[in-house]
Amino acid sequence: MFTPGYWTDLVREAERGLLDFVTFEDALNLQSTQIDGAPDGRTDLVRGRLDAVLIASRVAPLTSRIGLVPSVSTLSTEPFHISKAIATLDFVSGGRAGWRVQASRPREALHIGRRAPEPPLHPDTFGTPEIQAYITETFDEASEHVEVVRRLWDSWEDDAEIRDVATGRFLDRDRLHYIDFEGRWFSVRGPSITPRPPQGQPLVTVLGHISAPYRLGARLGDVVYVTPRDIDHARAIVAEIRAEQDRAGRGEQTVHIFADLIVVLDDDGDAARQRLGQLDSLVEQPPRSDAITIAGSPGELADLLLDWQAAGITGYRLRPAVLPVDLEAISRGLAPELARRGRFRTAYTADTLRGHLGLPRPANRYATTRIEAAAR
Amino acid sequence: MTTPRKQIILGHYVGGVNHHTLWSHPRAGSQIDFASFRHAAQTAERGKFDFFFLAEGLILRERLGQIFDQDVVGRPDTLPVLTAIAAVTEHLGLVGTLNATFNEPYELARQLASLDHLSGGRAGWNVVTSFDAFTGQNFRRGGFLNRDDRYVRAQEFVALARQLWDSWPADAIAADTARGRFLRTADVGVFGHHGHQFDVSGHFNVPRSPQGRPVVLQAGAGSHRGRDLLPVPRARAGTGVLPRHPGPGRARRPTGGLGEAAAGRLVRPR
Repeated sequence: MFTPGYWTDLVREAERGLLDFVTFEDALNLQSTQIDGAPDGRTDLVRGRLDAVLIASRVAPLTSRIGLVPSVSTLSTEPFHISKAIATLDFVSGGRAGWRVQASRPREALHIGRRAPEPPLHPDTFGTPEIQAYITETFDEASEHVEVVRRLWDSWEDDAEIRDVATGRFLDRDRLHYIDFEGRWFSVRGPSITPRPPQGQPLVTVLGHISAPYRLGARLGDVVYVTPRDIDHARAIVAEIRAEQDRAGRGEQTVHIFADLIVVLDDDGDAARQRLGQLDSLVEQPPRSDAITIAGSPGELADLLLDWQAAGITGYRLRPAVLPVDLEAISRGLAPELARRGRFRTAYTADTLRGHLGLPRPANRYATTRIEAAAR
Repeated sequence: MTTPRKQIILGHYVGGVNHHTLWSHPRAGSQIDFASFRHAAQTAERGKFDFFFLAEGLILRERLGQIFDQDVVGRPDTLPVLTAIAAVTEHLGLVGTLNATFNEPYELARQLASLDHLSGGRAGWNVVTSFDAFTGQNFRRGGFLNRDDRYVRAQEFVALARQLWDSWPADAIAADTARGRFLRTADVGVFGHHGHQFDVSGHFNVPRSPQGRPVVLQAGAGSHRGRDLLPVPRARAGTGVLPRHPGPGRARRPTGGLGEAAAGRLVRPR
């Protein structure tokens, strides 16, 4: 996990399976089984991780089609920094970058000198007004953050660099824009130091289990990852996110809803289920998870994915239970199984991550304003 | 046996955004495409350079209230581009200019340690500071430091980064599958710092990197204040001063023998 080869091998395997993208988890604190992230004193589980944006950047030149989506926290990292980091990942990958917006991890605040919530986040305190207010504030701050990042990506028009030798101008300064964002949490002038990235707007993705992140994803995201317990729950989550999307005036735009599933796969479904039992007995206490686990054959998993698709889920983020075993089962078993049914690609047909997901390259908000103003 | 001759250290400075980078020449390439960085880095490596050096500025330059449009403008983010270069080079040191005013020590220490892991021990950090409200306009914190405080902050910043880099024992990871043990002890990465500029605590979450500590460098035109921010005596390992003016007469004095230790550690240990 602390060598580049580990990551390169995994991502290349996913690319061999023609997957749309991979996500890279991240956090500022040491991994913990405690819900509030407090140290748990365990020595039997993996501890330590590298910066996700940098892992993705390291893999980018060694892959060619697959999307690369690292997590970055809105709590710790300035929007100006995130904007140029993801834009640069888009440049080094030739238009394959995305960002998983990581909004709330209370314990991380201490690492950068901010306060953690009082009382600490816990199932018993979850319903308290203090924790509810903390959650609301965290996602309000994240919304402002994403808005600033998106504006910074647009702060250069695509054709700002003119290299006009006759007038001695490298760029046309009228095509660069101060974003002049003034919010409750941030005040950022811009423009970015990095030109508009190849995709224009790299993919913005949000994981959510409750309404606040659903709203964030519906208002400002391209993909919302959700964790349904079953198909009825999936239907209910989809309805809530679509309603938020309409309320935000984005009804006509594509917002993907991806279900997160932990998968244990084997050609023989019973063997997979048996392996899951063995995995659970390997550790002292199986780690809690937000997503449900599916153990079975690629065919059984494909059936479930297609059922849930009919309920409004537009994609899946599969979390392999064991690496690289279950990733290989996805890329070599599940992907061909879906392709046989005519429900998955047999070759990449786009070069960019937005292209894989059927998202257009967005117009620059400031260019439109400037051109309209000129027309008046 | 012959006495080893004193060796020259060579760094490749890639400025990009300044008044002496020629953009109007027909063969002038892109200042932003990764292909340009790959080409420059691989060329430097072919020439057996010690390190590749990227500059940074966190705001576009202005003149009389307007964005300056006559020089090259626009650059990538330093750390992602250096990490991508790590994928297409093998030995070249990778030095990034990173600001101690508009970053958080925990986050930057983590990124530099990550670059060190992802490059097999080739990371370096050129520490710079800014105090002006002009750059501050791009950040949450705003322009909040006077000229003296930026060095105070930078000194505390670098000391804290070193504390974080030292917070994991080199042998912390057992990865003993037979006994089901990943860590030797649970208390890895523990740190606490309660200073004037930073009040932070927790567990650093990056295991000790190949170099132990990425190399810290300081660029400056011979300013004592800039050099004073290096928190250890100049001759100690792991530090270096980069002269701004590469003319031989001017460069000789400020660098005086500093680079050796730095370069020794920038090269992949093997």
